[in-house]
Amino acid sequence: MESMSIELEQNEIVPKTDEFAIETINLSKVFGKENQIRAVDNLNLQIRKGEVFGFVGPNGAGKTTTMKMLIGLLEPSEGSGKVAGFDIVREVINIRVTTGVLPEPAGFYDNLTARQNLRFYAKLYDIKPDVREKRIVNLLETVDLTRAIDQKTGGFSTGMRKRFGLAQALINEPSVLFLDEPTSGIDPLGAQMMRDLIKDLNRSKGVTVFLSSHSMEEVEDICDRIAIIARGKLLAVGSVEDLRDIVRAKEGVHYLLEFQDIPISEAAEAVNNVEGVQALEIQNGTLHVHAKMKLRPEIAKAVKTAGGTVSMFEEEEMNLQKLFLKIIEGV
Amino acid sequence: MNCDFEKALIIAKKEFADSFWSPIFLSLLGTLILAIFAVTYREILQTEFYSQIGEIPVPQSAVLEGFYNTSLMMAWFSPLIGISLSFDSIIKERKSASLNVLLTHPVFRDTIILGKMLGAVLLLMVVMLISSGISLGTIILLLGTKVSLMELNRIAVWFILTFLYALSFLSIGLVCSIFIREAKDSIVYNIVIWLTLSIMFTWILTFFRYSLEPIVSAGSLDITNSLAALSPMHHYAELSTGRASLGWGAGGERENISGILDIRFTLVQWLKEFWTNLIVLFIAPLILLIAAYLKFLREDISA
Repeated sequence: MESMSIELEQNEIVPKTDEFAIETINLSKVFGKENQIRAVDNLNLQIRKGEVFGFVGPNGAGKTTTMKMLIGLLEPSEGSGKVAGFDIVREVINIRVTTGVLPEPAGFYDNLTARQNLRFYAKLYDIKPDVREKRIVNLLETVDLTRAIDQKTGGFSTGMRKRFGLAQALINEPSVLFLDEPTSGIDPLGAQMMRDLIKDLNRSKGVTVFLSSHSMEEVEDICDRIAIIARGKLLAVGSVEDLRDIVRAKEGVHYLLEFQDIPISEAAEAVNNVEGVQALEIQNGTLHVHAKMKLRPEIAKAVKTAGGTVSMFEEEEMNLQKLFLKIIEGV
Repeated sequence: MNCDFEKALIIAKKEFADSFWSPIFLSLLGTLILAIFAVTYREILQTEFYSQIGEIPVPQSAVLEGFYNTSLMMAWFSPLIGISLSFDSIIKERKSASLNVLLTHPVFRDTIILGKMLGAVLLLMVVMLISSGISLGTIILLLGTKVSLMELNRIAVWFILTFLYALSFLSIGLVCSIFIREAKDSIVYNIVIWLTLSIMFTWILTFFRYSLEPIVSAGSLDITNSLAALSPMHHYAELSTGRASLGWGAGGERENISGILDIRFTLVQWLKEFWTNLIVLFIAPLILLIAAYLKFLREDISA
């Protein structure tokens, strides 16, 4: 594939003013001699400008294939897509100019210094020498590698390489940033630093971030919305709260209750009569209630009617890790 | 076809600098320069000796005679230079995952492979220029004679022939670098190909000839001559010196025309005699480079 080449200066290519930074319509990729492997299956995504979008799924879910199609490294088998307003098949060169990518794995020219590496990448965007040199210094400062500017990248630690990878992805001041496992293999401190950098980039420059990661903690921490993909199919998309609602609708709600002015057995009997309550269990003075849907007011009212009050009423919160496992269950 | 020549040049410059400063290349270049200097020096002393006893060798030009042994040296060692410039060219990019990163920037695979080819070919040309310069400089220094325009012309053609010969091996190295996944495997394959096609080819052909018929007949000679055409060295040897081979154990017999360095014959006569060799020396690297180019375009970049 690799589209028609469009001879334009970097400065002349600006993202189109579409509502979405990334949009896919029934995007599919089929591999194998007889098209037997559907790596990505009818994927529909709409990622708004300035959004940090997490893309999560188990190994082999189709995350990297999707990312490769979006940046023009793989041609879709079916469907279409746009990145920064440019078609992912016909306008690949424009996509490359307006986006930055930190792939996994990411390697650099280890016989060159950080400055020389970035200079090489910058030349590929026709960035003028004076602008280029200033940008290199600024970028390395942003990723806290100023002291390593004239060190060969071959001597960089994993954390430094990841940060340097982010710098190379930003060399063209992209409007959309694709990050594939940006914190894999680095220590917690380095990972936190990387996350802060991504958040800061998004806040200060309005860069749209498409983040593929295995770390649910990371995705929950920095993403506005999350898509969960498995076996090439999009299973769920939304904020963490949206994903909770999806799981609630599927799995029901789990409450933990404690009472005053009423024995727990009587309170349990009252709660059991509320329509929608599916299961009850008393554990160490706490009533565990499994309901079909959200029943907070109904349960409180039933306890009050029985002559008691609820002293603790908590909904068991599922973190993204649990939500993810629930959503991909059985796929 | 999305090839962007300006970007290919950026990649070529980087490739040129990377290869030039690599320890393997520098040590090979140093060895080649020393060997060429020593061989040319010895050849000139011999030529002077023959002149004193009145037996000027075949080309009847002391300057060009100096290039005969340089041809022998280049026949053996210029393939190594070609191989060193390409055997891991793509493998190292793939292994280090720098290809993954490079492909996310506004360059396509065809631009990358073209840039890599250009960088390696330009550096090979520089090596050939340095080698020819060392050889010619040594001759002029020792003989103290002026080089005529005709001699310069012959040296220029010799330079092109030597370049094409080395380019054949550079192309083999590049093809290996794309088809083979490990650098150590690639270097082994390249060395085996070099040993087989250059140094040991004469032995292999002789063995083959005597296995067919203990007493040499016209038929067995035809077969071995056809087999000889498989080796780029055979074509280079004929074009530059008129010998069938410059490999290990090859005879010293020359054709009627002793290659490009034989000034008794015009360039047209030389061309008439050796045009098939010239075509092979042009086409072989071209086919290999095209094969490398096409294979690289079809590669799965995630591999």
